[in-house]
Amino acid sequence: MPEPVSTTIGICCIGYAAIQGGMRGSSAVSPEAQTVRFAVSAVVERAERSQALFGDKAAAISQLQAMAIECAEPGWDGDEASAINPLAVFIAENFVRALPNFIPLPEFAPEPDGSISLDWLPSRHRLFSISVGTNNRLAYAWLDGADKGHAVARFDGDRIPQRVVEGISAIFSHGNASIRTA
Amino acid sequence: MADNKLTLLKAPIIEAVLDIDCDMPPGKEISTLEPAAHEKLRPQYPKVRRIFVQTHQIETPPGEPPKLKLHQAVHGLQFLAEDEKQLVQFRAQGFSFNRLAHYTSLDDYLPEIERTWKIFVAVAAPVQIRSVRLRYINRIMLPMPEKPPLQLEDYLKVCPRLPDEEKLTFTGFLNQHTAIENETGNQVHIVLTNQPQVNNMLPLILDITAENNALADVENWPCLLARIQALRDLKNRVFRNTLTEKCLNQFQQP
Amino acid sequence: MGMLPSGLPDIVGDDEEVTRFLTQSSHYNTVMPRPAAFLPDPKSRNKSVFRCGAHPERIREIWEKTTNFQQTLKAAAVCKTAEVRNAGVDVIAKEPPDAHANIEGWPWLANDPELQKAKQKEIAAVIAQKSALVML
Repeated sequence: MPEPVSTTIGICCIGYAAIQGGMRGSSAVSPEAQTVRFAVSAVVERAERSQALFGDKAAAISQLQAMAIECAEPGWDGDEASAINPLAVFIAENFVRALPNFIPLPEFAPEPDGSISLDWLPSRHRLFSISVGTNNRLAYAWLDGADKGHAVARFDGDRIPQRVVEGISAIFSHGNASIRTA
Repeated sequence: MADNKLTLLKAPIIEAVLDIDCDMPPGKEISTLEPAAHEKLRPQYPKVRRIFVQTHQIETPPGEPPKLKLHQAVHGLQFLAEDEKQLVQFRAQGFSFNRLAHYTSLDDYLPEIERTWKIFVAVAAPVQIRSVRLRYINRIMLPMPEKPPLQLEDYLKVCPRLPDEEKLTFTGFLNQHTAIENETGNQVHIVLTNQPQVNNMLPLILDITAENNALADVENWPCLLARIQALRDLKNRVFRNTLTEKCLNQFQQP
Repeated sequence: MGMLPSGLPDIVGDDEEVTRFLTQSSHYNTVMPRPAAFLPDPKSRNKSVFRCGAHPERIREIWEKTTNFQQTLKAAAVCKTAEVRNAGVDVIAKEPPDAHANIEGWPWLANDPELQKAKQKEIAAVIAQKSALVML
């Protein structure tokens, strides 16, 4: 019989997002589905206690929560801003957890309608900014030199939309080298 | 045995779930669909439950007692049959059909799935299908031998192993595998875990989800049906190839 | 062109600098203000700015006249009115208080709030990019 792969390690390093998916948002209602959810939660919890596996994301989520507490009351801006919506915080946390490891972690800012802005600002001329509200549709905009744009993408709670990954990656890339032929 | 011909006299299925995730129309709250949905579903699904997403915020200002704030939003609607063994869900992300034990065969439920799916399309007006998932949760009772330990490999072709089986004994395990079917692009997630021993039996949970993530038209039932059947085939193949003949034979005995 | 009680013209000129007071440290980094600092308030449908330029003392002076002191002024974002208008919105004088104006003309889409937010974010990002950050 072939030696089994060490599936626990495999889960933590490769299938982390898949485990997260197994833990969250399940439509199954049986007690056995709950068993699976709890078992998977225990693995996720253990992984998130690891500084190596989750340290940076844990720090980012702490920053997010601190910001949410700071803006937990209406008028946090001295004007008419709505309190940061806890559901937006929940979705933003899930978004951070689902980010691939090769994507830098964002900075967070409160928005006057109670949403949360996730910003990637590598320079004054290149930025990518996503708004996380209370549903799974994420509004985003980007600047890349003279190029700019905006769109909406759907976040299912487990996987970052591919065009968002590409958009963030693009503003951190050094651009395409042009090859001049004789 | 062909993939779609897996028939068991006493299938260990605890719950079967079909999820159809969709792009929903912008700005529409799922809670507003309840009256129209229940009017159409009431005869077979008289009970309604709302699924909430709740967040609990506990503030502990220095020198003051903790303050608890609760926020909740409706995340979905459940329409249940009288015996609560079958339910239809209208979720913020799409549609679900759940069948709990006693489960017969997917073919027996497909007409009702089609009917309730079309009600969902009429009421919620989803824009497009994003993914289809077919999930089967099985509870397999393994008899504990007179002389422990239980040999999992007697029942499982793919089973967890310990690094030192002489001196270590399992007290619990969780295995998860994710794979893609090369020909179709369908994905499968397999979770194997145990529940605490009951009398002289060890309950194993074998949770198989087959998933297809291609975009599809909400009005095209034949295409959706073909997709569901392909996922069923994949699920059956995984089930049959995870369990030994000895284990499968348990389910052929009345 | 008329004059306002503050003595400023009632039309905000393209070459005037408008200033957004920043009371949240998360609304700027070391380089620039963040787009969220400029997003409009959904109730008033505009964004409040002041016609006080970039000089820190002038900024503090206007702040102290207009604030209710429940917030701490941490920084300011200063942008040329022409740049704000190039981004697709307008700056309209609105007094009292003195030297106050609103960034108006934001896109509002009742049937698609997320697309509305995306359009607003792009505009806010352009304004943020063109704004200087004044630390206080």
